[in-house]
Amino acid sequence: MEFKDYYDILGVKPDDDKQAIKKAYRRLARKYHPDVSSEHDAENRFKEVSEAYEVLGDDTRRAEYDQLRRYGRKGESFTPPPGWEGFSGTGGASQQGDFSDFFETIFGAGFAGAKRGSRGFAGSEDFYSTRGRDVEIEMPVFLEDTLREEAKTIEYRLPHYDESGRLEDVKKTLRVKIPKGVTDGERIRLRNQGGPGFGDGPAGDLYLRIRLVPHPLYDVVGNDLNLTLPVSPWEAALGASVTVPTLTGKISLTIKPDSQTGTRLRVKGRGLPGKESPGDLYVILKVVMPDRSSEKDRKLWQQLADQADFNPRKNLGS
Amino acid sequence: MTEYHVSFTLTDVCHRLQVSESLCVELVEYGIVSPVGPRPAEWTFDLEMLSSMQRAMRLHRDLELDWSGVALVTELLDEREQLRRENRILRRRLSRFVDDSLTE
Repeated sequence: MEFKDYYDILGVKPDDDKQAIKKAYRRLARKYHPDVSSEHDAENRFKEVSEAYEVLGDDTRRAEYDQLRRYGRKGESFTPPPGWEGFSGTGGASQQGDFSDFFETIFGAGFAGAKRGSRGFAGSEDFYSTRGRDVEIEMPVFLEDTLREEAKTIEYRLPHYDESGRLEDVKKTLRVKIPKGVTDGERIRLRNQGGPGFGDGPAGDLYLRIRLVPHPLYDVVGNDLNLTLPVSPWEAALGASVTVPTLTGKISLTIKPDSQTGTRLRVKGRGLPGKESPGDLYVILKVVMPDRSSEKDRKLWQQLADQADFNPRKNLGS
Repeated sequence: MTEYHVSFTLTDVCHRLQVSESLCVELVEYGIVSPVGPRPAEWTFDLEMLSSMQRAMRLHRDLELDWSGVALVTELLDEREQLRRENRILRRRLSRFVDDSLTE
């Protein structure tokens, strides 16, 4: 078990007063709060900061920790001194969260009760029978998989109470059906597949948050899809019939003469399936030049240059 | 077991969040969520709302924000999410037309 230097985590000195510790905690909590932070690894950093404040923000726990700190150093393996039985729950209000082994060992399993009670507002509910925590995990889904109901196997980690009441992580595997037409950011609930309840309390729920995986060809806008279609200058000039891929198979598309880069063609009903009605596919034309022109091509371009009356820079005044 | 369209009553939501009804009503009054229905007894909340309320509770507890602060942060976070999504779409669209280091 690694020793945790809570002073270091909060960036304060061991002789700093309570006010300084609170100030440091507030600043770091804002910086790393998983709901607002874009920082890398924000969730773990926030847990660490909360845990540190849980100890240093409480006079009794801080005194107990200071005593223990004489035996351990940051980054080093730590074993409590002989005869150490752990502090029984110093209790009081507290954040809920998974604290480190280090914390659990020092402040003991007795603290676990206080932690759970901390969800507070328990109302008439039995203190010792609390509903398990809801767990949310991200579920990447390919666009192709939204076309029909898809069965997927998911693996996730759940906190689990061992016999002494300590939290540990267990791996869980589940087969779930992802319904047709899911959208980005949507949540699916799996009842009672979340964190275990305590006492007679039921398990929490598992939420799958759908994240559509970016597709190499199609960009998603709501239920609509955008496809950028490269066309040659002569196809754009003369019009053409071209084959276009869609999520549900190839189609033939007519390009009108005198088309431009950026021209959008709507193909009805070929977007994402959606819940009620399917979205559309928008084909956006992009006129591309050949990488290099042959001598013969160059002659043809030259003919066009000599004869065409077209100034693309009229608006620039040149 | 799997549910796709879930709605909760006020009582369900309070039970889930382990908060009092009056606090739930307050969150609605602050505009943190907007349930469907004319009266509290007929309100229905969807999964998004439940998760917004959970987030609100976390912000209130962890950052010691009062409820109008939570409402403001919630609004800004939602707006930021919306802008990020828009930005992602536009960057991708741009990257299909322009070779540029600007695009991912």
